[in-house]
Amino acid sequence: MKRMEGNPVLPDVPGPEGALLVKLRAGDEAAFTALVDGLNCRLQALAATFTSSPALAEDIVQETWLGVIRGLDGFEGRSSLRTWIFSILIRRARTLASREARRAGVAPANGAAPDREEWDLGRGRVGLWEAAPEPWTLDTPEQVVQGLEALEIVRAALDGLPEAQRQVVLLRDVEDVSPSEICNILDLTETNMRVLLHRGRARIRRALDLYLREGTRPSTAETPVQETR
Amino acid sequence: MNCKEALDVVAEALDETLEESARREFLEHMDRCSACRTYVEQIRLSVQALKRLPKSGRPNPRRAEIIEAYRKKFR
Repeated sequence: MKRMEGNPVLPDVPGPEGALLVKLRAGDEAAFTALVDGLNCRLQALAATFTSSPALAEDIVQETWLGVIRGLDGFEGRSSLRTWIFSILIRRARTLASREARRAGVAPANGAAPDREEWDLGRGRVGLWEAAPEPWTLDTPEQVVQGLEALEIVRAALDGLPEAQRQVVLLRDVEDVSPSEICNILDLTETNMRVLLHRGRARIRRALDLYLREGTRPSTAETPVQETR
Repeated sequence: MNCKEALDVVAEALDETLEESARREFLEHMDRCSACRTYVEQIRLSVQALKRLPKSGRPNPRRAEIIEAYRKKFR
């Protein structure tokens, strides 16, 4: 069911994404379904950084897809399709999360709260480590990233990051969005983005460090909990 | 470059987006500072682990709604 293929009024987008976009704008349901199935989980993960409510996260994802459907004709290809969809999600998430917070009578979570324990640009490693970091004893460094348990540690540490750090780390490292695009879609200055990325990564490293050298499994909360026997 | 300056540009160094002179200074610092070397290597591994996180989750329970909204647009 292609009706609008090659409509000259719509912004033209070159490359393979352009071809996909032509299909999406023409009502190619298979192409759209593939897009939804490929991206939905990742939208869920991003939405979850804005709210602790699974229901609200679901609403954010839903509204994002509706926004994508509405906006397809206007998408100009200045970013990748995926980044554009992320940016729609972030706008919807901010609106919905702050509305929800007002209704519940609490201020929206502020993930950018200063954290004196950690990285400060211009202050370098002040407070970052008390003793010099110790190497992880591994046969091959890549072992770290191959063990399922280590990945669970990383997942938990990521989920436990303050909101803004979590968003930046998720977009940069998990989703591989470029630094400048992250600044755009999260509306951050480059310096802020770098600080958040540094801090987030430092916490992920610390969680892995605790796990690899002491066998501690940190909880998603700030402080590591004692293992219960 | 001292430790502080080196650690301030870790992200750029890992992205290989440092300018040539900064890159050289960074590498020189890494050569002579084992603490930073260890730290940067561990950050690199942490980033790799993040990249490898499974991108799966539970299926969208309202998937059909989305597809229907798309269909409607072209009806």
